[in-house]
Amino acid sequence: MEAGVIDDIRLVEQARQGELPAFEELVRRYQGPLYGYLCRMCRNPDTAEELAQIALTKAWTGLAGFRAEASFKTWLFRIATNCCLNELTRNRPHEPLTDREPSPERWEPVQAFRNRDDFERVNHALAELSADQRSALLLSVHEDMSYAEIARVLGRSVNSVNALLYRARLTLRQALNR
Amino acid sequence: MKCETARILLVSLADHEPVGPRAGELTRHLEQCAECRTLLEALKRDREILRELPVMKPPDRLLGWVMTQVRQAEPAARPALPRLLRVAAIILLFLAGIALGVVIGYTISPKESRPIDRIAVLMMSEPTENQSEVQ
Repeated sequence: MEAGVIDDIRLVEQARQGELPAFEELVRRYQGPLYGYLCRMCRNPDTAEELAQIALTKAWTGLAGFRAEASFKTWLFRIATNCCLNELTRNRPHEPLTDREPSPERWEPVQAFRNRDDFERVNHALAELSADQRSALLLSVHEDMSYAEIARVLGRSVNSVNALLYRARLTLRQALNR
Repeated sequence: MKCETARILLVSLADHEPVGPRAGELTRHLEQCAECRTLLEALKRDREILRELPVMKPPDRLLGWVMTQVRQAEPAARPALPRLLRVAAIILLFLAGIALGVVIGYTISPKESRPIDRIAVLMMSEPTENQSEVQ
């Protein structure tokens, strides 16, 4: 087991005893990846923020039910994905991320993206995917989750995730080739 | 191996996922099929392009908001006792209640009515006429 995961388990145990600083550390650790994932999923920074807040609060109230069969990260992303998919099926109108100029302080480019056109092309390609395809793809590419972990997050079998990612990658390929 | 089957496995390969028992078959297929080799390269490139997407930084207020909500919901996260332990605790409490009731009842009841004291009184008392006759 990775050191980070062991550390998470220790923090989760402390948080379950009611130690707020331990939970605060978990929030600090995962708010970034969670928020980034939700931004890409719902394509709206404000909705992403709201969903991240809901998911993290739900994680706290549901901590007693967390079993260490999965990592805390997988469990947290499952909560967030459920919140997000519910939100998306409610068909709340959202503004596309690409149509909104992100404030520079909120973007933290790992490296400069090729160019603005490429960035928009990828974002439009992602938007063409179904919500669960997008979710599986983002978890695989951005969160480096294995297919087994993605299966836990989405509540599906590994074979189903395999098929989902296959369709997602081919749709993305076609969209990027246009 | 047919290209159709290989393509499903190529996605796993591009995602650094174990391909399983068909890995050897896939390698042989890739050696022969230029189209699948091109697709694999394209899938790897797409993955890299996706990874280059800028990372969105969460607003500073997020942590504070979450912790405020968490403080309001504090008791909910306290670990609930496992069901078995809870049942055992209830049974123990019930038995303790009965024991306490017996002790209190014993303490406040008149000495003569206590079963043990009655036996003691009987044993210490003078034998009656009937008892003497029996002896």
